[in-house]
Amino acid sequence: MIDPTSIEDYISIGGYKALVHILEEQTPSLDIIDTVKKSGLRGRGGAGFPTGRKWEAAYNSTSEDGVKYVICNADEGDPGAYANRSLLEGNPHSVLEGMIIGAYAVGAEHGYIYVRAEYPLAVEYFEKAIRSARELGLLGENILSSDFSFDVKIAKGGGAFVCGESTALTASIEGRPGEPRVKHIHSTQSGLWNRPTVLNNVETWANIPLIVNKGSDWYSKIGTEGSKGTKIFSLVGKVNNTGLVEVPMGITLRDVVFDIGGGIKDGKKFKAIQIGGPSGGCIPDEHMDLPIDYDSLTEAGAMMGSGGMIVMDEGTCMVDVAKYFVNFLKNESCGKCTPCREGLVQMHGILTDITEGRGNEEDIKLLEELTEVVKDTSLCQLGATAPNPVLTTLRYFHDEYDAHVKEKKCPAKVCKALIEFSIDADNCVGCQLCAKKCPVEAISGEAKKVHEINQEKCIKCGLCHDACKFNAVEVA
Amino acid sequence: MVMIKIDSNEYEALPGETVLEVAKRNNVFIPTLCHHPSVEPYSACRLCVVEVTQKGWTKVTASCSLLVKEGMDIKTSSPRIDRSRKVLMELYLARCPGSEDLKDLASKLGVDGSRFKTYTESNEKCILCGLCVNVCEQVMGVGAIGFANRGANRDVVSPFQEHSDVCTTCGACAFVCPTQCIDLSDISPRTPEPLLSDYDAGLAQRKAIHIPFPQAIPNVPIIDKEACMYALNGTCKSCENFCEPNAILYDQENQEIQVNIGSVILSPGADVYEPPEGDSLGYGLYPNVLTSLEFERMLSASGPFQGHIKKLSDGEEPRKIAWLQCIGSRDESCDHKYCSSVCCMYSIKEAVIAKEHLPGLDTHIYFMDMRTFGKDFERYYDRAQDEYGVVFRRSRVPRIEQNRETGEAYSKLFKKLGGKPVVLNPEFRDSANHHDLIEIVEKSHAFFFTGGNQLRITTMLGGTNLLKSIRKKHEEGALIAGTSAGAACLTGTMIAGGESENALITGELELSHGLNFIENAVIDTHFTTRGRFPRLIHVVAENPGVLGIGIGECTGAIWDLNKKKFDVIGSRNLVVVDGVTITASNKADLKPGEPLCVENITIHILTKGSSYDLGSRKATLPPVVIDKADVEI
Repeated sequence: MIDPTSIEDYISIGGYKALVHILEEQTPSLDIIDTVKKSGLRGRGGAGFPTGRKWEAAYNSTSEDGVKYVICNADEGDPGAYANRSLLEGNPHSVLEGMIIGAYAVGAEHGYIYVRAEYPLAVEYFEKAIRSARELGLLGENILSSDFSFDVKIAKGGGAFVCGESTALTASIEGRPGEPRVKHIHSTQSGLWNRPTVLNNVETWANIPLIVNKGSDWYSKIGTEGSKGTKIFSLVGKVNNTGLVEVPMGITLRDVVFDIGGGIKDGKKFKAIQIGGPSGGCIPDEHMDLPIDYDSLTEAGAMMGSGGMIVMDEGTCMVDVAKYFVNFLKNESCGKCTPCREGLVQMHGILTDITEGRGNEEDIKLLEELTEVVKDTSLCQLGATAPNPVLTTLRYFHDEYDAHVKEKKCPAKVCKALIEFSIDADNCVGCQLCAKKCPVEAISGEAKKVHEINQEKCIKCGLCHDACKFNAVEVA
Repeated sequence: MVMIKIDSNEYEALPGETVLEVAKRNNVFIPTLCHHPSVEPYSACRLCVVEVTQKGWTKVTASCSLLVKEGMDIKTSSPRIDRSRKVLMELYLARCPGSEDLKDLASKLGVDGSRFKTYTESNEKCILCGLCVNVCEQVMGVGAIGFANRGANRDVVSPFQEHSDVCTTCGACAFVCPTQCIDLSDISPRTPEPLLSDYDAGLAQRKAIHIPFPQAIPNVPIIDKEACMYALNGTCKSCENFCEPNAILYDQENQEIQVNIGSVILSPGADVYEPPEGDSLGYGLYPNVLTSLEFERMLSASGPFQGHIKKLSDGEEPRKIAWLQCIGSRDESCDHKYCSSVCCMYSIKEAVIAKEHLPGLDTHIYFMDMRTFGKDFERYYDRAQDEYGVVFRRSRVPRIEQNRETGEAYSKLFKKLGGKPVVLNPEFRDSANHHDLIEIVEKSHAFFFTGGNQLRITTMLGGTNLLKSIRKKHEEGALIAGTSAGAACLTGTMIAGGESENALITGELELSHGLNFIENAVIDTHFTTRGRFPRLIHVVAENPGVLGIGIGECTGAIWDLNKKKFDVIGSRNLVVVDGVTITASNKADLKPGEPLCVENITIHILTKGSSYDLGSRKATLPPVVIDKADVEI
């Protein structure tokens, strides 16, 4: 355990050794880039682009005035994801050292870290890290008396999920609204202020000192053929052990959930795992033996994303889950392009109709067609990946959709309009506990007599179900 | 040079061009909504998506921002593309269901209706294509409007939705908007002044760059440097993006050229008489009063209306047109004591051609003398009368008034209420005796007198057969009604004028005789808003036997002459001034300019549900409903 505010602690565990080594040996940039390429490191922000190739492209780009930038994407917008935050709050220097090495490799003298404003502690610790590094001559003019100068500024987030998208992020740093632009010219050629820019995720930067210290061979031994190294996941949901886990690529989903995660809470049955945040997908039990790997997850319809893993049990309605994520993305859409802006509104509308009992088979067909178009024609990846939750739930849980539209039932007993709470006369002892808990006084019944729920008044909150000690409240 | 393939055809392209530009140049159709050659590609509407295959990879992307690369294989139509365009169009239709422009585009793309629900306001027309914002910022260099809010709440507004300080009211945003949804008055506090075409006599607009008229020599556009944004501010230059041969020279100056010639023909042309605006002839006041030159442009097939004659007031076709001759000629007041010599003939020509354009049109020419002095001119004048039925009236018209408007407005209202109104608008006293109008009266069940000037009503109708027949119908049970001047004229005593401020001073009030449908009463209207208490008191003081009734806005009285009472309706007040109780007044001895004094005059203030008995001169207030809760026992 190190004190994140202490640069000495970081140094004591081997911190800044990589940087010192590079500067002392005056390692050529191309060698460093080669090392990163050979390590097989892929962007940990979600897209999984080979980091070494990105750096190489920026290295080869020329800038009119020679200015290049490196940026750390610390916007971490996925609901429930906090891996980046933990890194910044737990070991900010690892990220900073990675950035300095990256800047050296591509020829940048300026860097930014774009931290979401909702992470004040991360901002504070990173500021401290910057100051401490400067004090020791590890940052700023002529680092460690070499010819290499580099400094970092902190830019606080614009307050939107879309600002995690690279072109929206650079727009936000430039002071413009966080809206993406078309990417026919890559940021490595023309990015922040039209200069060659390398934008990498917090976790990606944090891997760099390790790779430089231990070498690309060591790193590439961990993981699978296409995905090297380790990945931090935030394992949350209906699992016994929740928290951040760092696992080697290639470990199966089953191992993560049932081994590390300790299995499903309350002895319930596993239903699905949502990977990759709102842009990812839901994977059912039949694919749980998939190795965690950029490519296999994409084939299954999901996405590595930034590492969110939400475990769901039999009590989760997959249509409701799809609606939840579509609603999130609908509110976060920047609104520039029509398919994302209008398409998400319509997708949400259709899913709401389905979960409220107004859906029909035509709606599902329309939803399928709409998701394909939104995927094909959206301007940025927010829109293009927004249909993923719908597409994967349709693919693996089509029967749940069918139940909602054909039988007007919610098999998981979640969608309020499609469920009914009732009292089982066999089990009810007339203790009146449920009646007391009911917020709308919908339960009537005398002491020691079977109670009854008034369906007109019932708001389906489920408090009676939770309160009953005799299993007498049924949900259907 | 770069070679790319679009729909299996090879095309040449310059590096730096976009696929859309190459397609347009070669007449390959790709639909767009947010594209404009003068602005940077925005790629937001996504209608221009194409399939692009390069190095074995195929993806769908917007062609407006896709830079050409050697060997690119583009498909502008495929199952994926066609499905995308269809669904996108349906999304647009769902967002703006009322937009005719979107409906037109949809039918062009073969999309019939939308399967999606509308979650926006039904009158939403903005598709957030960004053209207005981008044109304002990039082309005009101003940036008065921008986007606010995110996602479905995105909106185009000026900062804080207040009038912009920097908007130059150039109208470029409204011009480029594909759905015509911009109202400049939302953005700029100034009213835009349209550039009017001189040649079209101000009836049509022109641009800063324009060809003055179709027959211009040379037949090329010219730039009006007093209106061109480039000449004024150094911005825009949008036109050069449309000129393929790049022929626009913005900085061209006037040149003096020396020409060697043999002879000069001096053709001085003619000056047009500019009629004064707002005088008794109504030019500039009434939209349907035009100069002959304006009418020529209206008649012209290449003019602003392509030869369709339309009333400028409402865009409807006229049924009657009158030509007033010798305006501005043979006239001492404007220094043109001579005859212009051409107007008689061209007026006949205009009347004849107008009749050809609008069969059934009634044409009247009001002239002093018919100047048909040239070859066959007299024959033309005869033909106009005999064959075409142009009516010639020898007269000098002193004034033009527009009063049809009120009639038409009320006509629409009564139609809405389910009635079959006919507007009777006799222009001359002899019209008021015309049997046509009387026939209409005999078929009618109710007569409504509109507002305006009560003296006009009485001077026009008093003593005519029309009024006699209306009275007869009234005795037989028809309803008489009126508002404003139309109510004031119904009584025996009629207030003809005299504003309220000084009404308590003798001499200011003008009394007259009304149509006397109601005897022994005087009605004043707009009573409370125009503060007309004093003048009604004055009238009643003169003859306290006459009952004064002052009606406020949105209020009325339903009079039962048999029962000698009336009931009050409406939402405001009706005031009754009863002079029978006056014990003393100085009215008889007052000299002009002296103020009135009256003792013990009775005033009732009535509302809806009240009634007034004319015999007993008693008012009855509406029954009061006692709320049980208010009564305590």
